[in-house]
Amino acid sequence: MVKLIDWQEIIAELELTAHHHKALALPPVYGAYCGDMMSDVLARARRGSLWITIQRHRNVIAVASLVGLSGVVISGGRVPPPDTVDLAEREGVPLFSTPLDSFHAAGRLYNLLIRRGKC
Amino acid sequence: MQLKFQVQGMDFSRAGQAATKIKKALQLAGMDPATTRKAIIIAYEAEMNIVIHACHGSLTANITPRKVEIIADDEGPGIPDISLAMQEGYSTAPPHIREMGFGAGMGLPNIKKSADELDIRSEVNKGTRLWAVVFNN
Repeated sequence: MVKLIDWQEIIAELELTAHHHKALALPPVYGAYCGDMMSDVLARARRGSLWITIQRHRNVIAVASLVGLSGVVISGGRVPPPDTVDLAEREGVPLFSTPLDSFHAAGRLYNLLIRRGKC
Repeated sequence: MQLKFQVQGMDFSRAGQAATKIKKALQLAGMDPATTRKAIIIAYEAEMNIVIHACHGSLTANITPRKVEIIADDEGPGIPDISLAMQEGYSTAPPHIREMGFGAGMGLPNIKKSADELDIRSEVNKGTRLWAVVFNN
């Protein structure tokens, strides 16, 4: 049986800072996708994945919401601007930032997922 | 059910809103998730094409239990060579748009892959009309 990953484990492992409202319910994470081109993520990311990207403008939230992603992680120490945070709150999309670059964030998440048999 | 949205060129602050509303309508209508995914890829890419390339335009979704029809009509520079624009990687988007993760030359190819039927007509310096259909399985 596949166990769900605890969000606290993801937050600690990826050194995440949350930018969404504390009351937001975090959906299960079934996988991840790494990418910075909107069309690529829209076409290829799977519903329930966590999206790791360097992009931080509000269209990231539109794409995440359209695909049904579990959340967005903005990498490389970049912080989302207020209009991105506002839209994430309105759309109910969990929004995080990490000091890790995309490669290391994805690597740590991959290890977590593979331990749970999700990759 | 018909949904119609006005889309303004270069208005990135509202970009994606029309596709998001179409997605919610498709989910409320109980469309198959695969149909919904294909339709929103078409709607979003068509909406972004108007935002990035056109002066202004409209995005329309006609939703029936059997199919979703997406129509994007714009006034703008038009597409001089549609077959070239359909090739993955071909893009005329300026560098500052590409830096935002748009203009990768994937928009029209994504639409083509997702549509069961597709027709694009364009006139240079007038505008473009895109018509696409996804059948609900």
